Amino acid sequence: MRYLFYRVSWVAVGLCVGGLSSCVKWSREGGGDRLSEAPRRANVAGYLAPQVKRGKVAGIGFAAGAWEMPKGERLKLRAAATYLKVTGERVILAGSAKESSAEYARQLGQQRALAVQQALVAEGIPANRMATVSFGRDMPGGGGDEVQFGFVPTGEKAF
Amino acid sequence: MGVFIHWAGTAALLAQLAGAAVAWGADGGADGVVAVGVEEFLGSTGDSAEQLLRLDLDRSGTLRAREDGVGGGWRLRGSSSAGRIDGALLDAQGAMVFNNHYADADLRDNVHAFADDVVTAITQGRGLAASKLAFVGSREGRRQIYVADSDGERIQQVTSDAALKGSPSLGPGGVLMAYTSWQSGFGDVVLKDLRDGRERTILSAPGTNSGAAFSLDGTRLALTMSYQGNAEIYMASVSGSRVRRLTHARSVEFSPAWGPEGNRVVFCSDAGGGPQLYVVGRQGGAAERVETGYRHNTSPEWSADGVHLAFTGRQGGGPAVVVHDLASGQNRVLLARGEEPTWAPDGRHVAAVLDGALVVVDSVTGRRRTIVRGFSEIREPSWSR
Repeated sequence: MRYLFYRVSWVAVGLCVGGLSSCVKWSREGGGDRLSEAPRRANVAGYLAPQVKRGKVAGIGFAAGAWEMPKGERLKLRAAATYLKVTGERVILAGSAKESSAEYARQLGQQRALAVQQALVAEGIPANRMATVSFGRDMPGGGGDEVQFGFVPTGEKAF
Repeated sequence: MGVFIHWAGTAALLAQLAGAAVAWGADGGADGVVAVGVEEFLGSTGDSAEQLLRLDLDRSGTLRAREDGVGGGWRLRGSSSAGRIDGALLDAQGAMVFNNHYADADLRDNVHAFADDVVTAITQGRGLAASKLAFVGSREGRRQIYVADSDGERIQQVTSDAALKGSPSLGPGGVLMAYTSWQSGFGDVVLKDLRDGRERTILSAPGTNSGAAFSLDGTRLALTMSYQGNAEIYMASVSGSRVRRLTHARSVEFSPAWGPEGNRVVFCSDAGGGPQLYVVGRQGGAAERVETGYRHNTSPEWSADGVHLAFTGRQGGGPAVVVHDLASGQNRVLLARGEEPTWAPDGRHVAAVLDGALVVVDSVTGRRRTIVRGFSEIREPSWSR
Protein backbone atom coordinates (compact mmCIF):
# COMPACT_ATOMS: atom_id res chain seq x y z
CA MET A 1 0.00 0.00 0.00
CA ARG A 2 2.84 2.33 0.95
CA TYR A 3 4.58 1.39 -2.31
CA LEU A 4 1.45 2.25 -4.26
CA PHE A 5 1.24 5.59 -2.48
CA TYR A 6 4.81 6.44 -3.44
CA ARG A 7 4.19 5.41 -7.05
CA VAL A 8 1.07 7.58 -7.25
CA SER A 9 2.92 10.48 -5.63
CA TRP A 10 5.78 10.29 -8.12
CA VAL A 11 3.35 10.11 -11.03
CA ALA A 12 1.59 13.20 -9.64
CA VAL A 13 4.90 15.05 -9.28
CA GLY A 14 5.80 14.06 -12.83
CA LEU A 15 2.50 15.32 -14.15
CA CYS A 16 2.96 18.62 -12.30
CA VAL A 17 6.49 19.10 -13.61
CA GLY A 18 5.41 18.12 -17.11
CA GLY A 19 2.49 20.47 -16.96
CA LEU A 20 4.66 23.25 -15.60
CA SER A 21 7.28 22.88 -18.29
CA SER A 22 4.69 22.92 -21.04
CA CYS A 23 3.10 25.91 -19.35
CA VAL A 24 6.44 27.77 -19.37
CA LYS A 25 7.00 26.86 -22.98
CA TRP A 26 3.53 28.03 -23.91
CA SER A 27 4.00 31.34 -22.13
CA ARG A 28 7.32 31.97 -23.95
CA GLU A 29 5.97 31.12 -27.37
CA GLY A 30 2.37 32.17 -27.02
CA GLY A 31 1.90 34.58 -24.15
CA GLY A 32 5.29 36.29 -24.34
CA ASP A 33 6.24 36.96 -27.94
CA ARG A 34 2.96 35.97 -29.62
CA LEU A 35 4.58 35.04 -32.92
CA SER A 36 2.33 34.23 -35.82
CA GLU A 37 2.84 31.82 -38.67
CA ALA A 38 5.30 33.02 -41.29
CA PRO A 39 3.94 33.08 -44.86
CA ARG A 40 5.81 31.29 -47.62
CA ARG A 41 6.22 32.38 -51.20
CA ALA A 42 4.74 30.12 -53.83
CA ASN A 43 7.30 28.20 -55.84
CA VAL A 44 7.72 30.47 -58.85
CA ALA A 45 10.32 31.22 -61.47
CA GLY A 46 12.98 33.69 -60.38
CA TYR A 47 14.04 36.82 -62.22
CA LEU A 48 17.02 35.00 -63.75
CA ALA A 49 15.08 31.91 -64.88
CA PRO A 50 15.52 31.21 -68.63
CA GLN A 51 11.84 31.63 -69.44
CA VAL A 52 11.75 35.13 -67.90
CA LYS A 53 12.03 37.90 -70.50
CA ARG A 54 14.28 40.68 -69.30
CA GLY A 55 15.02 44.03 -70.95
CA LYS A 56 11.84 44.25 -73.04
CA VAL A 57 10.85 47.47 -71.27
CA ALA A 58 13.34 49.98 -69.87
CA GLY A 59 13.77 49.91 -66.10
CA ILE A 60 12.61 52.62 -63.72
CA GLY A 61 15.52 54.77 -62.51
CA PHE A 62 15.74 56.23 -59.00
CA ALA A 63 17.81 59.02 -57.49
CA ALA A 64 20.40 57.93 -54.90
CA GLY A 65 18.69 57.00 -51.63
CA ALA A 66 15.16 57.58 -53.03
CA TRP A 67 12.44 54.97 -53.22
CA GLU A 68 9.24 56.90 -54.05
CA MET A 69 8.07 56.26 -57.62
CA PRO A 70 9.82 59.04 -59.61
CA LYS A 71 7.50 61.29 -61.58
CA GLY A 72 10.01 61.53 -64.42
CA GLU A 73 9.72 57.78 -65.01
CA ARG A 74 5.94 57.66 -65.54
CA LEU A 75 6.22 57.02 -69.27
CA LYS A 76 8.33 53.90 -68.67
CA LEU A 77 5.83 52.74 -66.07
CA ARG A 78 2.93 53.17 -68.49
CA ALA A 79 4.87 51.28 -71.15
CA ALA A 80 5.26 48.35 -68.75
CA ALA A 81 1.58 48.56 -67.74
CA THR A 82 0.49 48.57 -71.39
CA TYR A 83 2.68 45.54 -72.15
CA LEU A 84 1.18 43.64 -69.21
CA LYS A 85 -2.38 44.53 -70.24
CA VAL A 86 -1.84 43.51 -73.84
CA THR A 87 0.05 40.26 -73.21
CA GLY A 88 -1.62 39.15 -69.98
CA GLU A 89 1.83 38.14 -68.74
CA ARG A 90 3.04 38.40 -65.19
CA VAL A 91 6.06 40.37 -64.04
CA ILE A 92 8.92 40.14 -61.58
CA LEU A 93 10.04 43.57 -60.38
CA ALA A 94 13.76 43.42 -59.59
CA GLY A 95 15.05 46.31 -57.49
CA SER A 96 18.62 47.40 -56.91
CA ALA A 97 20.55 50.19 -55.23
CA LYS A 98 24.13 51.40 -55.18
CA GLU A 99 24.29 52.11 -51.44
CA SER A 100 27.61 51.25 -49.80
CA SER A 101 25.85 49.24 -47.09
CA ALA A 102 24.95 45.90 -48.67
CA GLU A 103 21.91 45.44 -46.44
CA TYR A 104 20.61 48.97 -46.98
CA ALA A 105 21.01 48.43 -50.73
CA ARG A 106 18.96 45.22 -50.53
CA GLN A 107 16.06 46.75 -48.65
CA LEU A 108 16.15 50.02 -50.57
CA GLY A 109 15.97 47.99 -53.79
CA GLN A 110 13.07 46.02 -52.33
CA GLN A 111 11.25 49.22 -51.33
CA ARG A 112 11.71 50.54 -54.87
CA ALA A 113 10.29 47.34 -56.34
CA LEU A 114 7.29 47.69 -54.00
CA ALA A 115 6.83 51.33 -55.05
CA VAL A 116 6.74 50.29 -58.72
CA GLN A 117 4.32 47.49 -57.87
CA GLN A 118 1.95 49.95 -56.20
CA ALA A 119 2.23 52.29 -59.17
CA LEU A 120 1.36 49.43 -61.54
CA VAL A 121 -1.63 48.54 -59.37
CA ALA A 122 -2.75 52.16 -59.75
CA GLU A 123 -2.42 51.64 -63.54
CA GLY A 124 -4.84 48.72 -63.31
CA ILE A 125 -2.49 45.72 -63.06
CA PRO A 126 -3.65 43.24 -60.38
CA ALA A 127 -1.12 42.77 -57.57
CA ASN A 128 -1.35 38.98 -57.90
CA ARG A 129 0.32 39.21 -61.31
CA MET A 130 3.46 40.72 -59.80
CA ALA A 131 6.29 39.57 -57.56
CA THR A 132 9.14 41.62 -56.13
CA VAL A 133 12.78 40.87 -55.48
CA SER A 134 15.84 42.93 -54.67
CA PHE A 135 19.45 42.23 -55.54
CA GLY A 136 20.77 45.29 -53.71
CA ARG A 137 24.25 46.15 -54.95
CA ASP A 138 24.52 42.90 -56.89
CA MET A 139 22.05 43.35 -59.74
CA PRO A 140 22.79 40.57 -62.23
CA GLY A 141 24.24 42.03 -65.38
CA GLY A 142 25.22 45.20 -63.58
CA GLY A 143 23.19 48.33 -63.09
CA GLY A 144 21.81 49.77 -59.91
CA ASP A 145 19.45 52.40 -58.52
CA GLU A 146 16.62 51.08 -60.66
CA VAL A 147 13.81 48.55 -60.89
CA GLN A 148 13.93 46.24 -63.89
CA PHE A 149 11.09 44.21 -65.37
CA GLY A 150 11.21 40.46 -65.90
CA PHE A 151 8.12 39.25 -67.77
CA VAL A 152 6.87 35.73 -67.18
CA PRO A 153 5.05 34.28 -70.20
CA THR A 154 1.53 33.04 -69.67
CA GLY A 155 1.35 29.35 -68.91
CA GLU A 156 4.32 29.49 -66.53
CA LYS A 157 3.83 28.82 -62.83
CA ALA A 158 1.55 31.31 -61.15
CA PHE A 159 2.79 33.53 -58.36
CA MET B 1 62.25 24.70 14.76
CA GLY B 2 58.54 25.18 14.38
CA VAL B 3 59.01 28.90 14.79
CA PHE B 4 61.66 28.87 12.08
CA ILE B 5 59.29 27.14 9.65
CA HIS B 6 56.58 29.61 10.53
CA TRP B 7 58.84 32.61 9.85
CA ALA B 8 60.31 31.03 6.78
CA GLY B 9 56.81 30.43 5.47
CA THR B 10 55.76 33.97 6.23
CA ALA B 11 58.89 35.33 4.55
CA ALA B 12 58.20 33.21 1.47
CA LEU B 13 54.59 34.38 1.37
CA LEU B 14 55.68 38.01 1.70
CA ALA B 15 58.24 37.51 -1.04
CA GLN B 16 55.59 35.98 -3.27
CA LEU B 17 53.18 38.81 -2.59
CA ALA B 18 55.97 41.31 -3.24
CA GLY B 19 56.76 39.51 -6.47
CA ALA B 20 53.12 39.63 -7.47
CA ALA B 21 53.02 43.33 -6.67
CA VAL B 22 56.13 43.94 -8.73
CA ALA B 23 54.75 41.87 -11.57
CA TRP B 24 51.53 43.84 -11.53
CA GLY B 25 53.38 47.12 -11.37
CA ALA B 26 55.75 46.20 -14.18
CA ASP B 27 53.42 44.28 -16.47
CA GLY B 28 49.88 45.16 -15.72
CA GLY B 29 49.40 48.15 -13.47
CA ALA B 30 49.52 51.04 -15.86
CA ASP B 31 47.61 49.67 -18.82
CA GLY B 32 45.37 47.29 -16.88
CA VAL B 33 46.83 44.26 -18.61
CA VAL B 34 47.46 41.35 -16.25
CA ALA B 35 50.69 39.42 -16.71
CA VAL B 36 50.39 35.65 -16.72
CA GLY B 37 53.45 33.43 -16.45
CA VAL B 38 53.38 30.55 -18.92
CA GLU B 39 55.50 27.60 -17.91
CA GLU B 40 57.03 25.36 -20.55
CA PHE B 41 54.41 22.95 -21.89
CA LEU B 42 55.30 19.28 -21.86
CA GLY B 43 54.26 16.64 -24.38
CA SER B 44 54.52 15.94 -28.11
CA THR B 45 52.43 18.99 -29.13
CA GLY B 46 53.42 21.08 -26.13
CA ASP B 47 55.48 23.62 -28.06
CA SER B 48 52.70 24.38 -30.54
CA ALA B 49 50.12 24.60 -27.76
CA GLU B 50 52.25 26.95 -25.68
CA GLN B 51 53.04 29.19 -28.62
CA LEU B 52 49.38 29.54 -29.62
CA LEU B 53 48.32 30.04 -26.01
CA ARG B 54 50.72 32.95 -25.65
CA LEU B 55 49.26 34.55 -28.77
CA ASP B 56 45.69 34.01 -27.53
CA LEU B 57 46.49 35.64 -24.19
CA ASP B 58 48.11 38.63 -25.88
CA ARG B 59 45.16 39.00 -28.29
CA SER B 60 42.69 39.07 -25.39
CA GLY B 61 43.73 42.63 -24.61
CA THR B 62 43.30 41.94 -20.89
CA LEU B 63 46.12 39.43 -20.34
CA ARG B 64 49.76 39.25 -21.39
CA ALA B 65 51.93 36.15 -21.48
CA ARG B 66 55.11 36.66 -19.46
CA GLU B 67 58.22 35.80 -21.38
CA ASP B 68 60.11 33.93 -18.71
CA GLY B 69 57.21 31.92 -17.36
CA VAL B 70 58.35 32.42 -13.79
CA GLY B 71 57.91 35.05 -11.11
CA GLY B 72 54.92 36.15 -9.10
CA GLY B 73 51.31 36.48 -10.14
CA TRP B 74 49.16 34.11 -12.16
CA ARG B 75 50.80 31.08 -13.74
CA LEU B 76 49.76 28.62 -16.40
CA ARG B 77 50.97 25.05 -16.46
CA GLY B 78 50.11 22.50 -19.08
CA SER B 79 50.95 19.60 -21.29
CA SER B 80 49.75 18.61 -24.73
CA SER B 81 49.87 15.33 -26.59
CA ALA B 82 48.22 14.56 -29.92
CA GLY B 83 46.52 17.96 -29.79
CA ARG B 84 44.81 17.38 -26.47
CA ILE B 85 45.64 19.62 -23.56
CA ASP B 86 45.77 19.44 -19.80
CA GLY B 87 45.85 23.02 -18.63
CA ALA B 88 45.97 24.51 -15.17
CA LEU B 89 45.77 28.04 -13.81
CA LEU B 90 47.52 28.83 -10.53
CA ASP B 91 47.04 32.02 -8.57
CA ALA B 92 49.75 34.19 -7.03
CA GLN B 93 49.91 31.94 -4.01
CA GLY B 94 50.38 28.87 -6.15
CA ALA B 95 46.90 27.57 -5.42
CA MET B 96 45.17 25.74 -8.27
CA VAL B 97 42.27 27.78 -9.69
CA PHE B 98 41.35 25.11 -12.24
CA ASN B 99 42.91 22.12 -13.94
CA ASN B 100 40.99 21.17 -17.09
CA HIS B 101 41.32 18.57 -19.81
CA TYR B 102 40.62 19.75 -23.36
CA ALA B 103 39.99 16.87 -25.72
CA ASP B 104 38.60 18.30 -28.99
CA ALA B 105 40.04 16.84 -32.16
CA ASP B 106 42.00 19.96 -33.11
CA LEU B 107 44.80 21.50 -31.08
CA ARG B 108 43.64 25.01 -31.96
CA ASP B 109 40.16 24.41 -30.51
CA ASN B 110 41.68 23.11 -27.28
CA VAL B 111 44.11 26.00 -26.90
CA HIS B 112 41.40 28.57 -27.66
CA ALA B 113 39.09 27.00 -25.06
CA PHE B 114 41.88 26.96 -22.47
CA ALA B 115 42.74 30.61 -23.22
CA ASP B 116 39.09 31.66 -22.83
CA ASP B 117 38.84 29.79 -19.52
CA VAL B 118 41.91 31.66 -18.29
CA VAL B 119 40.46 35.02 -19.35
CA THR B 120 37.18 34.26 -17.59
CA ALA B 121 38.88 33.03 -14.39
CA ILE B 122 41.12 36.09 -14.10
CA THR B 123 38.90 38.89 -15.44
CA GLN B 124 35.39 37.44 -14.90
CA GLY B 125 34.75 38.48 -18.50
CA ARG B 126 34.40 36.47 -21.70
CA GLY B 127 37.29 35.61 -23.97
CA LEU B 128 37.24 35.75 -27.74
CA ALA B 129 39.77 33.07 -28.72
CA ALA B 130 37.25 30.31 -29.42
CA SER B 131 34.78 32.57 -31.21
CA LYS B 132 34.28 32.55 -34.98
CA LEU B 133 33.93 35.19 -37.67
CA ALA B 134 31.76 34.79 -40.76
CA PHE B 135 32.04 37.09 -43.75
CA VAL B 136 31.20 37.34 -47.43
CA GLY B 137 34.33 37.09 -49.54
CA SER B 138 34.91 37.38 -53.28
CA ARG B 139 37.52 35.30 -55.07
CA GLU B 140 37.83 35.01 -58.84
CA GLY B 141 34.51 36.76 -59.31
CA ARG B 142 32.57 34.37 -57.08
CA ARG B 143 31.08 35.54 -53.82
CA GLN B 144 30.79 32.95 -51.05
CA ILE B 145 30.50 32.89 -47.27
CA TYR B 146 33.57 32.00 -45.24
CA VAL B 147 34.07 31.28 -41.53
CA ALA B 148 37.39 31.86 -39.76
CA ASP B 149 38.81 31.60 -36.27
CA SER B 150 38.88 34.86 -34.32
CA ASP B 151 42.57 35.25 -35.21
CA GLY B 152 41.85 34.87 -38.93
CA GLU B 153 43.23 31.34 -39.15
CA ARG B 154 41.44 28.26 -40.54
CA ILE B 155 39.39 30.13 -43.12
CA GLN B 156 36.71 27.77 -44.41
CA GLN B 157 34.39 28.31 -47.35
CA VAL B 158 30.98 27.23 -46.02
CA THR B 159 28.81 27.87 -49.09
CA SER B 160 29.46 26.67 -52.61
CA ASP B 161 26.46 27.09 -54.93
CA ALA B 162 26.51 29.80 -57.58
CA ALA B 163 23.57 31.75 -56.16
CA LEU B 164 24.01 35.26 -54.81
CA LYS B 165 24.27 35.29 -51.02
CA GLY B 166 24.89 37.73 -48.17
CA SER B 167 24.27 38.94 -44.60
CA PRO B 168 25.68 35.98 -42.64
CA SER B 169 25.00 35.92 -38.88
CA LEU B 170 26.59 33.45 -36.49
CA GLY B 171 24.71 32.16 -33.47
CA PRO B 172 26.23 31.50 -30.06
CA GLY B 173 29.39 29.43 -30.29
CA GLY B 174 29.45 29.73 -34.07
CA VAL B 175 27.45 26.51 -34.48
CA LEU B 176 24.52 27.85 -36.50
CA MET B 177 24.67 30.44 -39.23
CA ALA B 178 21.79 32.31 -40.82
CA TYR B 179 22.33 33.96 -44.19
CA THR B 180 20.39 35.22 -47.18
CA SER B 181 20.45 33.20 -50.38
CA TRP B 182 18.93 33.96 -53.78
CA GLN B 183 19.01 30.27 -54.74
CA SER B 184 15.23 30.31 -55.32
CA GLY B 185 15.51 33.50 -57.37
CA PHE B 186 14.33 35.52 -54.37
CA GLY B 187 16.03 36.57 -51.13
CA ASP B 188 15.37 33.83 -48.55
CA VAL B 189 16.89 33.21 -45.12
CA VAL B 190 18.79 29.94 -44.83
CA LEU B 191 19.88 28.32 -41.56
CA LYS B 192 23.07 26.29 -41.77
CA ASP B 193 24.53 23.94 -39.17
CA LEU B 194 28.28 24.45 -39.47
CA ARG B 195 29.05 21.14 -37.74
CA ASP B 196 27.62 18.92 -40.46
CA GLY B 197 26.97 21.44 -43.24
CA ARG B 198 23.24 20.73 -43.39
CA GLU B 199 21.05 23.69 -44.24
CA ARG B 200 17.44 24.56 -44.92
CA THR B 201 15.48 27.60 -45.99
CA ILE B 202 13.64 28.92 -42.95
CA LEU B 203 12.10 32.17 -44.19
CA SER B 204 10.82 32.62 -47.74
CA ALA B 205 7.98 35.11 -47.47
CA PRO B 206 7.13 37.17 -50.57
CA GLY B 207 9.65 39.99 -51.08
CA THR B 208 13.23 40.07 -49.79
CA ASN B 209 13.95 38.39 -46.45
CA SER B 210 17.41 39.39 -45.26
CA GLY B 211 19.64 40.77 -42.53
CA ALA B 212 18.79 37.99 -40.06
CA ALA B 213 20.63 38.49 -36.76
CA PHE B 214 20.76 36.00 -33.89
CA SER B 215 19.79 37.02 -30.39
CA LEU B 216 22.58 36.40 -27.89
CA ASP B 217 20.88 33.30 -26.49
CA GLY B 218 20.37 31.97 -29.99
CA THR B 219 16.60 31.51 -29.62
CA ARG B 220 15.42 34.34 -31.85
CA LEU B 221 16.26 36.07 -35.11
CA ALA B 222 15.61 39.69 -36.02
CA LEU B 223 15.45 40.46 -39.73
CA THR B 224 13.87 42.59 -42.45
CA MET B 225 10.87 41.24 -44.34
CA SER B 226 8.50 42.95 -46.74
CA TYR B 227 5.59 40.59 -47.29
CA GLN B 228 3.16 43.07 -45.73
CA GLY B 229 3.99 45.71 -48.32
CA ASN B 230 6.96 47.49 -46.79
CA ALA B 231 10.48 46.71 -45.59
CA GLU B 232 9.98 46.26 -41.83
CA ILE B 233 11.79 44.70 -38.87
CA TYR B 234 10.47 41.34 -37.71
CA MET B 235 11.37 38.92 -34.97
CA ALA B 236 11.33 35.22 -35.85
CA SER B 237 11.80 31.90 -34.15
CA VAL B 238 15.03 30.19 -35.22
CA SER B 239 12.95 27.56 -37.00
CA GLY B 240 11.51 30.41 -39.08
CA SER B 241 8.02 29.04 -38.71
CA ARG B 242 6.73 31.95 -36.65
CA VAL B 243 7.28 35.69 -36.92
CA ARG B 244 6.25 38.95 -35.31
CA ARG B 245 6.37 42.42 -36.85
CA LEU B 246 8.18 44.98 -34.67
CA THR B 247 8.03 48.18 -36.74
CA HIS B 248 5.30 49.97 -38.71
CA ALA B 249 6.53 52.79 -40.94
CA ARG B 250 6.38 53.87 -44.59
CA SER B 251 10.19 54.06 -44.73
CA VAL B 252 12.92 51.43 -45.18
CA GLU B 253 13.83 49.59 -41.98
CA PHE B 254 16.87 47.32 -42.05
CA SER B 255 19.97 45.88 -40.30
CA PRO B 256 18.46 44.85 -36.94
CA ALA B 257 20.76 43.73 -34.11
CA TRP B 258 19.78 42.50 -30.65
CA GLY B 259 20.62 44.15 -27.36
CA PRO B 260 22.54 41.91 -24.96
CA GLU B 261 19.58 41.29 -22.69
CA GLY B 262 17.44 40.19 -25.63
CA ASN B 263 14.54 42.56 -25.11
CA ARG B 264 15.55 45.35 -27.49
CA VAL B 265 16.59 45.61 -31.11
CA VAL B 266 18.61 48.40 -32.72
CA PHE B 267 17.98 48.97 -36.41
CA CYS B 268 18.32 51.53 -39.21
CA SER B 269 15.51 53.51 -40.78
CA ASP B 270 15.52 56.17 -43.48
CA ALA B 271 12.32 57.72 -42.11
CA GLY B 272 14.18 60.97 -41.52
CA GLY B 273 16.02 61.04 -44.85
CA GLY B 274 19.44 59.42 -44.49
CA PRO B 275 19.44 56.22 -42.43
CA GLN B 276 19.41 56.77 -38.66
CA LEU B 277 19.57 54.40 -35.70
CA TYR B 278 16.46 53.47 -33.70
CA VAL B 279 15.73 51.08 -30.84
CA VAL B 280 12.50 49.10 -30.49
CA GLY B 281 11.42 46.60 -27.84
CA ARG B 282 10.90 42.94 -28.70
CA GLN B 283 7.18 43.49 -28.23
CA GLY B 284 7.19 46.22 -30.89
CA GLY B 285 5.69 49.64 -30.17
CA ALA B 286 7.22 53.06 -30.65
CA ALA B 287 10.85 53.11 -31.75
CA GLU B 288 13.23 55.53 -30.08
CA ARG B 289 15.85 57.34 -32.16
CA VAL B 290 19.49 57.18 -31.13
CA GLU B 291 20.99 60.58 -31.81
CA THR B 292 24.46 59.94 -33.18
CA GLY B 293 25.00 63.23 -34.97
CA TYR B 294 25.88 61.38 -38.17
CA ARG B 295 23.82 61.94 -41.31
CA HIS B 296 24.21 58.38 -42.55
CA ASN B 297 24.23 55.46 -40.07
CA THR B 298 24.32 51.79 -41.07
CA SER B 299 25.35 48.34 -39.72
CA PRO B 300 24.69 48.94 -36.01
CA GLU B 301 25.69 46.34 -33.41
CA TRP B 302 25.32 46.35 -29.66
CA SER B 303 28.33 45.57 -27.45
CA ALA B 304 28.01 42.57 -25.14
CA ASP B 305 27.76 44.81 -22.05
CA GLY B 306 25.01 46.92 -23.63
CA VAL B 307 26.97 50.11 -23.08
CA HIS B 308 28.00 50.89 -26.65
CA LEU B 309 26.72 50.74 -30.18
CA ALA B 310 29.17 50.37 -33.05
CA PHE B 311 28.03 51.46 -36.49
CA THR B 312 29.24 52.77 -39.84
CA GLY B 313 28.91 56.52 -39.83
CA ARG B 314 29.16 58.90 -42.76
CA GLN B 315 29.25 62.64 -42.50
CA GLY B 316 29.69 63.78 -46.07
CA GLY B 317 33.05 62.09 -46.58
CA GLY B 318 34.12 58.49 -46.38
CA PRO B 319 32.91 55.93 -43.87
CA ALA B 320 34.18 55.34 -40.34
CA VAL B 321 33.49 52.78 -37.66
CA VAL B 322 32.05 54.78 -34.80
CA VAL B 323 31.47 53.66 -31.21
CA HIS B 324 28.55 55.46 -29.57
CA ASP B 325 28.25 55.55 -25.78
CA LEU B 326 24.53 55.20 -25.06
CA ALA B 327 24.71 56.80 -21.61
CA SER B 328 26.69 59.91 -22.51
CA GLY B 329 25.77 60.14 -26.18
CA GLN B 330 29.45 60.58 -27.03
CA ASN B 331 30.92 59.20 -30.26
CA ARG B 332 34.42 57.89 -30.84
CA VAL B 333 35.82 57.10 -34.27
CA LEU B 334 37.34 53.67 -33.82
CA LEU B 335 38.42 53.07 -37.40
CA ALA B 336 38.59 55.78 -40.03
CA ARG B 337 37.55 54.42 -43.48
CA GLY B 338 36.31 51.24 -41.77
CA GLU B 339 32.86 49.77 -42.39
CA GLU B 340 30.41 47.16 -41.11
CA PRO B 341 31.58 46.65 -37.51
CA THR B 342 30.79 43.55 -35.49
CA TRP B 343 31.52 43.09 -31.79
CA ALA B 344 33.47 40.20 -30.37
CA PRO B 345 31.85 38.28 -27.50
CA ASP B 346 34.28 39.93 -25.08
CA GLY B 347 32.55 43.28 -25.69
CA ARG B 348 35.96 44.86 -26.26
CA HIS B 349 37.15 44.00 -29.76
CA VAL B 350 35.47 45.03 -32.99
CA ALA B 351 36.01 43.48 -36.42
CA ALA B 352 35.36 45.61 -39.49
CA VAL B 353 36.17 45.89 -43.16
CA LEU B 354 39.02 48.24 -44.06
CA ASP B 355 40.46 48.61 -47.56
CA GLY B 356 39.22 45.18 -48.62
CA ALA B 357 40.63 43.38 -45.58
CA LEU B 358 39.12 42.22 -42.31
CA VAL B 359 40.67 43.95 -39.31
CA VAL B 360 40.18 43.64 -35.55
CA VAL B 361 40.44 46.71 -33.35
CA ASP B 362 40.79 46.76 -29.56
CA SER B 363 38.20 49.40 -28.61
CA VAL B 364 40.12 50.21 -25.41
CA THR B 365 43.64 50.64 -26.74
CA GLY B 366 42.91 51.23 -30.43
CA ARG B 367 45.42 48.48 -31.29
CA ARG B 368 44.61 47.11 -34.76
CA ARG B 369 45.40 43.81 -36.49
CA THR B 370 44.59 42.71 -40.01
CA ILE B 371 43.36 39.13 -39.73
CA VAL B 372 42.02 38.31 -43.20
CA ARG B 373 43.26 39.58 -46.56
CA GLY B 374 43.72 38.14 -50.02
CA PHE B 375 40.09 38.47 -51.16
CA SER B 376 39.09 40.87 -53.92
CA GLU B 377 36.27 41.99 -51.63
CA ILE B 378 35.20 41.30 -48.05
CA ARG B 379 31.86 42.46 -46.68
CA GLU B 380 29.33 41.91 -43.89
CA PRO B 381 31.47 40.30 -41.16
CA SER B 382 29.59 38.70 -38.27
CA TRP B 383 31.23 37.64 -35.00
CA SER B 384 29.74 34.73 -33.09
CA ARG B 385 28.50 35.47 -29.58
